[in-house]
Amino acid sequence: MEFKKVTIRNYRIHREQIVDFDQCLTLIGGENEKGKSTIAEAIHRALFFKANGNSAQHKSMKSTIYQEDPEVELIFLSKGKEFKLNKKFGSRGGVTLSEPSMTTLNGEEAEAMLSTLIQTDTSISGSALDKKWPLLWVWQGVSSDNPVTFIEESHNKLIQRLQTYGASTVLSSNFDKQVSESFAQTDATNYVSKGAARAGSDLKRAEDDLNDLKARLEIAEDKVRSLEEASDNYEKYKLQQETNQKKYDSIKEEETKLLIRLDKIKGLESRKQLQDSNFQIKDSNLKQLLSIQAEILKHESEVQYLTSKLNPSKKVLNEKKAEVSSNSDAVKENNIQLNKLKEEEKLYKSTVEICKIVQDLASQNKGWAKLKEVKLQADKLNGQIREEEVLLNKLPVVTALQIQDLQNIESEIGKAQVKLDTIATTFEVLNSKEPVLINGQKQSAGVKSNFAEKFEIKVGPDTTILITPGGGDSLGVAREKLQHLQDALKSQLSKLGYSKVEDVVICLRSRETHLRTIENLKNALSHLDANDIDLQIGAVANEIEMKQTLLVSKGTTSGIDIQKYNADNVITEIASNEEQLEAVFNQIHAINGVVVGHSTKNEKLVDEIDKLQEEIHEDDKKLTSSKNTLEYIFKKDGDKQSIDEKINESQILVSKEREKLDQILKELGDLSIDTVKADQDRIARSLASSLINLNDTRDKLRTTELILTNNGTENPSDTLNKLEEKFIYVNDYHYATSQKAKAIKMLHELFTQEQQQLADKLTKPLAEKIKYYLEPVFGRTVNVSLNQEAGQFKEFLISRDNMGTFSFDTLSGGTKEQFSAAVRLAMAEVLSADFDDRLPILFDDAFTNSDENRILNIQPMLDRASQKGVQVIVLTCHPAAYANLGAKQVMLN
Amino acid sequence: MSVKFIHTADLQLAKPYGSIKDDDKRIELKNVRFEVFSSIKKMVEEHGAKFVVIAGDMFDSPTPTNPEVSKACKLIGAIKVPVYVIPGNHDHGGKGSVWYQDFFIREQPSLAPNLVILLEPKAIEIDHAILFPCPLLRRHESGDLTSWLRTIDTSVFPANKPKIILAHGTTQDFSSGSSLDDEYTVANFIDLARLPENEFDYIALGDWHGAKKVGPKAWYSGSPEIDRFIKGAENKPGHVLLVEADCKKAPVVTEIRTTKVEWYEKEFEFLDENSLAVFESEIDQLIDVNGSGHLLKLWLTGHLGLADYTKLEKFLEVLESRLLRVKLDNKVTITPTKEELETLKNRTDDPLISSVAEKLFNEITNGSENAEVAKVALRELYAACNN
Repeated sequence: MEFKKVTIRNYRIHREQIVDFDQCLTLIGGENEKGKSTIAEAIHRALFFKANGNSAQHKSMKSTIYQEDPEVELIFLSKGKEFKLNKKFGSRGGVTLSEPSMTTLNGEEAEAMLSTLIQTDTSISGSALDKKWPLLWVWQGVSSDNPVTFIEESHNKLIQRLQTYGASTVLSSNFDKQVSESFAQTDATNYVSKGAARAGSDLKRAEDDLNDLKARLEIAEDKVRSLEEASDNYEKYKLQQETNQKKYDSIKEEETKLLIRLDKIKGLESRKQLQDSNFQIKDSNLKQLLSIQAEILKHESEVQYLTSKLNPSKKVLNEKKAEVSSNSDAVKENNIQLNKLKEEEKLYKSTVEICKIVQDLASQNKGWAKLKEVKLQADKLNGQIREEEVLLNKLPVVTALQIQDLQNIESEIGKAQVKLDTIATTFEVLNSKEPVLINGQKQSAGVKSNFAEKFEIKVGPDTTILITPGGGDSLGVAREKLQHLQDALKSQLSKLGYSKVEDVVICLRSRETHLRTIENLKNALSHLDANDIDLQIGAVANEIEMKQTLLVSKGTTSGIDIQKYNADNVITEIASNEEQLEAVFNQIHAINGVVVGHSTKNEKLVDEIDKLQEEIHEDDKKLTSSKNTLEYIFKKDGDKQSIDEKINESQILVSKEREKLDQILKELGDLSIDTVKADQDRIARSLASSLINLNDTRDKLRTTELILTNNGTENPSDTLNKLEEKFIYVNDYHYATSQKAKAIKMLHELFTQEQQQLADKLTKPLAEKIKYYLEPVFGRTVNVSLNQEAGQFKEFLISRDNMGTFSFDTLSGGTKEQFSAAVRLAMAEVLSADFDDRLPILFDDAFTNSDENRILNIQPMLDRASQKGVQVIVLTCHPAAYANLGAKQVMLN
Repeated sequence: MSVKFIHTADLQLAKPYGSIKDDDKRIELKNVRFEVFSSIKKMVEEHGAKFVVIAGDMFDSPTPTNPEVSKACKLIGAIKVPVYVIPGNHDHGGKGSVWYQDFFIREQPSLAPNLVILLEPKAIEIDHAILFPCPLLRRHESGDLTSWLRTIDTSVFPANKPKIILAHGTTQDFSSGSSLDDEYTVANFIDLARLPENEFDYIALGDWHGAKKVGPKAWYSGSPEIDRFIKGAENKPGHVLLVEADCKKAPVVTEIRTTKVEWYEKEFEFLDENSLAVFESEIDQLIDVNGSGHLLKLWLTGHLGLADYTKLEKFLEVLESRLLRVKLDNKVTITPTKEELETLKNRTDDPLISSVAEKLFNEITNGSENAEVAKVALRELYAACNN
């Protein structure tokens, strides 16, 4: 089916609007409110709306400007023929359908024919009208609708058409659906969505019963096991208890024995204490007597010893005293002789001293005269040095370096003069009649004069010539340099007080001569060693004076006449006196030795005498004391014999008490007194541990007895057996129920899978067509899939660039428009097979959410459809945006 | 001097039969075991038995309930002769067992003064014999229960009274046999070979549930009422022994059948579509399915189609309802018949059902881990399509 031409008359704003459609692509452009949507509506109404009537829908079509009823004439191709459909709407409305080869049909006949041609009901009104061709008629504002909403009308046809794409594709039957549905329902009653059994289901009941039984079985098993264990354990515990009781009793018996032993020990301990005390008293008496006996013996032996020692000691004392007296007399005599000799020795010593002083004085007088002479020579040399220094100081100080500087300046001056002379002008009068004056002075002929500065020549009274020597300022510079050097020389010479350099040289030579002379004189002076000559002379004089004073003093003290001695005799005098002195000294020494010998001896004897006397005194004291003590003992305790008798008696008593005590100790030893504490502890420990064991087994036995006591209301073995058997069939039932539920689930899943496979086979060609239309917009990676549920399209899915799959509702507004358009185009293409492979599709401002770029890409999509038998009609207020579509353009004015 | 007495054992009174779901049936089966005493009573009177010995396991557990104790005492009390009982492994003589419970101690003298419980391995002299009890005082005794008899001086007892040993356990000769008894262990051992056989005249044994002679003078009486499915003809459960013992003479033993409930067993393999009918007819011949008070054990193998399998289930349901119990070992595999498969797989009008059936069938034939579930699923699908 293909639209050729539409003519709209008296339809809202349209007086008469004609649109010729292109076979493939038509673009109807026009500003807002130019009646684009009215054209879309007018064609739709021509096809489907009941012509005759005066409903609100009819009225809404009427024009407010033109009185006549609205009328639409549509020329279209169908089944290879061109039909003209004319519908006039209103209470006088009517329809005609004509075709060149047949008579024009009117009214119902025309509608019936139309209905056959477009394969759907026509001549309808009310809201049903909007449900006509919703796939092909994209009204304003519905372009983003989910395809499932506009697919309904064409669904069955679409499915039929899709089936023809795959020869093997068959549809599921109603019985298939019925059976499948029944399994789905049963599965849903068996399981919740998470896979667990649903409450109230047989499966859930079987599971619950099984779990309940497991729990009960466990309790019953525990009970029986506990009974069996108790039964097994009872005899064991009984035996244990008997053994433990025996052990306990045996320890108790041991404890009783220990207590008896402890009582015995106690009695013996008390006896031992008493006996010990008796023994101690007797023993102490004996010890006292023995000590008296010992005392007597000790003192008797002391008296004997001291008496035998004292007599020889006293004899020795007297002998020593006599020896001391004899020695003292000898010492006195020797001392008188010694004093005489010491007087002589003193006289000789003084004489020698005086002679030596006289000798020293003579020698010192000679030294004093020598020093006086040196002083004279030194004074002379010092006078000469002072004269030379006066001469030197008169000459200015000049150095060899200074002279060298001066000579350098002189040499520079020479060079500067030569340079000046070469620049200067030589003037010579060879002959002149007229007087020649230079700078006012007459210049004789043949005399050469040099001029370094400008000079004036006057020849005769009338001729005056000015000559400037040299070029430029070189003459000036040379002259200035010369002057400068000359000034420098002069200034330096003047500082030295000379006018010539030669004089300065002479001065330097003279200074050097004087300096050398002074040095020579100083050397001679230093050889004299006369630096402190005056001091030396003074010191020697003092010495002489002191010696003389000493001499006088010695003479006075010793009473020796000093006048007897002079330089000439002193040497012999010294020798003679020294000889005398030595002889006296030897005598003194000998006598001194004798005196010392006696004195030393006496000192030793005196010490011995003191010691001996002290010893004798002490022994005397001891002797007296011992004698006194013995006397006291005899008086107090009786004589020796009676004491010996007493000792014998006491010894017999002590021995008896000792025997008694030993007997008690032996008895104690027999009772193992040292281990009694350990035994006590051990028995206490054993008793405690044994009691614990005893109580433990007693408790166990009681508990076991309690378990074993049956009130006879229940037979636990019976209960267990019943539960075990019940468990088997509950388990079997659970297994069977679970198997059945699994089987139903398997069936449900298989049916769902099979259904999906069938659906996939069916919808695959459609999905591929949609993809084909979407490629210009989204590229070749775009993919489309369709989900079916219960034979209906449920969901359209798109994926791009492998970025996951998105359902239609999750897409953006623009993408929805494009996706939706592609679905419509694909479906129109599929459905066109029933309409001579031609079917129109109309988009009224359908891409308002798409950006410019997308609109550009939509155009190839629309073009692809037009190549596949879809007659595309686009209504837009932006016709320029569709310039690339290549459509026939109709502009509304 | 010869004496006649009844030898029984393993009555296992108050056996719970927990495997029987239905309470009425379970109680019925329980009561049958008590009824043995009525049979014994009659036998005593009929044969002039002087006493009855029960060689262990009179009760099924050491803890029967008071009503069960009362019931047993009352029935024993009705027997006119003394009844001597030793405890066995089920009702051992350990502390806590029924023999020591206050209730039994009170109830026994008042209801069954003729009942004597022998709890000690000590000879007792009765009117017509000397009894040598070997009681089990705990469930499992590791030593030989009869060892005390090897050294006993029997000459101290009257020479004119037969000497009868009562013991409960397994004999050496017997331990190489099959372990049909669940309780069978090497414990509770009775070494017959070491017994001075000439000193004794009869050995009354308990524990083995079939009547069996295990020595010239040694007999197991077996359980008087069958209580399990036992394969093999040599096992003779459901008997009581009438014994005539005499000093230094071989005992004369008569087996008297006492069991009231039959425990049938049947093995069957389903091979083709006629098998089910054959099976039903064979079961009819084996037992009177309309009667009651019997038990049946079935070992089923082979394969059945979906429809036949459902029929089998229905038949088994009837059996289960009518009999006391059907113990089923069902290894029958479900193999849809060609027709069944056709009806599922070749449903051109119902492509989904067809392809689902195909997949299930593949799962089953490939033996995948889901094969069992797939079988059930196939049956469900088949049922859904044939309702």
